[in-house]
Amino acid sequence: MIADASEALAVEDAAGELVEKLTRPRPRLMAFTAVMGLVALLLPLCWIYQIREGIGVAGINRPVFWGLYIINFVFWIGISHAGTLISAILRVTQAEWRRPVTRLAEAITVFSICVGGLFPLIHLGRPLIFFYMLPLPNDRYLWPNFRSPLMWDVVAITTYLTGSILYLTLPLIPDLAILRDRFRGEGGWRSRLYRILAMGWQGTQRQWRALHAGIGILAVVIIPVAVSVHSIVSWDFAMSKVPGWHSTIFGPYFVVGAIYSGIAVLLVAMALLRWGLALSDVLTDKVFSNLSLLFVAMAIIWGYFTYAEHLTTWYGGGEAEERVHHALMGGGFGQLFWLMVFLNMAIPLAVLPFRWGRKPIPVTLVGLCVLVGMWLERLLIVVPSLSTPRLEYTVGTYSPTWVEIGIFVGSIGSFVFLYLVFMQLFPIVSVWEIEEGRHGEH
Amino acid sequence: MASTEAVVAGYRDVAAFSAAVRGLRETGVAPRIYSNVPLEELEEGRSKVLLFALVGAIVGGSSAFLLAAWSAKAYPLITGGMPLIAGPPVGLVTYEGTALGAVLATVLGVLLEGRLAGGSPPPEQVSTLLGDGLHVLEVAAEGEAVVALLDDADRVFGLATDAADEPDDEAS
Repeated sequence: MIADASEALAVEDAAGELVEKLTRPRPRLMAFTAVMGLVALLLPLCWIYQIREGIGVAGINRPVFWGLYIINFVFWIGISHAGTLISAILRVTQAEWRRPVTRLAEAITVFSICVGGLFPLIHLGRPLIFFYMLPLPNDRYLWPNFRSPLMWDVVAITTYLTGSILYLTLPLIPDLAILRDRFRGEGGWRSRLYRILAMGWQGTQRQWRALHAGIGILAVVIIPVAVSVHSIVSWDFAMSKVPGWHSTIFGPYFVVGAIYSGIAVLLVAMALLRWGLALSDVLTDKVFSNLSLLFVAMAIIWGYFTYAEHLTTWYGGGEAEERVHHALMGGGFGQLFWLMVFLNMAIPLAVLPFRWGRKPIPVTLVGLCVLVGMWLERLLIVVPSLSTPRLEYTVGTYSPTWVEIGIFVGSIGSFVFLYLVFMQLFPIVSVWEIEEGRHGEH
Repeated sequence: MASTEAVVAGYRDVAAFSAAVRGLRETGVAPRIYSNVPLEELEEGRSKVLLFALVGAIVGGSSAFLLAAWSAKAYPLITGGMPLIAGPPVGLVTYEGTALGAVLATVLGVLLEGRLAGGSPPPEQVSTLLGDGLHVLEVAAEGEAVVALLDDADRVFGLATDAADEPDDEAS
């Protein structure tokens, strides 16, 4: 009965097929990654130009001191709620259909925070003195002022980034060990990389027990952190007296918008991965349908918040607030405002309630519409309020320069590039969680 | 270290694997179990990771509170009419510090409890079976009675192992 283990097993396992599918080299994908890498270069190039020439090369000027950089900061941090929050909620509620979604959502979180977190630094104009915001001992005995909402941002985003990276990497360890075992005999850099990153994972019950406990705790901790992050981002606005910003519902409004845009990008990513990696057996129509229903719920909640926010402003009749309100409803920003409502409300509610609308292609199109709509929402929060301030003699407008647009396009390239590199190095779908689900079914 | 013989058995079927592990445990043998998926039905003992998280949360929260409060006093600057150590901002920083401490300590707990920090991968033969998607158990070869319990295994083979690398006591 005792035999030599070197004899290969003829029967291939389902996990092995999935790993093979996820790690197979794809020349066209690699070429696309290289193109995205070139697009990503726009970000450092434009940023270096801005550092050399000064912040004056950006279009921000009195009275609109916050422009594309802050819009994109809020947008990317919002998108980051795709992963950690959604993945954590689905884990905590033990939703079985979460299994193919969690890893790809968590990766979105990590890379969108990395990209979004750059924007406040870019906006600083002098990013080299960023360390003034860190609580480092210094000879002037000058410490960060934690009573400033901007410092809350630093603290919250640092916590969120750290937590999200760990929340992505901890469940990745067993899959790294699977890759280590599969690439063991092949040698090369991949074999070495997986051996190091797997950290001696053996899959013993002691390790699984610790990992399960760890993932469970991180999931519970990360949910309030994610909520706090976007609340704090909203308080950057709401703590000021700027008309249109000084609102008590900005915290939850921003959180809802963040989850909404997060689900949008998650659906788009899922559809592209399903098509690109032939994952229709894992990212099934049912997964799309379930996430779409969550998407509809968020669309309705977002619409409710938007209505409540504008109704209160309109009914209150404050002079400065009214000017911003009129600019949005029918003034200079009216077309953008109604386009935002159309993209964020009309399209999702016209498509997603129907069974045909929850298939991958329509869902992807709706997701793209919502992404554009939510970007417009951030624009319409930042610019109209600043361009119609309380003191009317400082009224002004804003249009971004090529430097700001270059950095924005570069940020999209950076995000896609980082994501593509990650998915070619590591399983973008959690293999062990899929297997765990299969065992649970039997 | 003296070498002892061990038996390694690989199972594709979870039910057969679980039955073999239970059978071995009933005979007083504690096998070392390897698997690419968590098998909760075989888990024994309780994790101490939550304890790490709680300690980390307390340490992180206290540190953040002290940092926010002490740095405000170290450079006294009245902002927005707030007291130097104002509840809401210090509370926010404390909240984030608590979460950060809990997260870091949780990961530390997983690394220590799972013996991941500086751990070595499984023996090559075990790794081969895991790579083929099997659930694996390793047990000291203590006679035919033990080996007979492994009848349903898809693959079984002998393994030379160091005495220092004795099977994990999962019940501990």
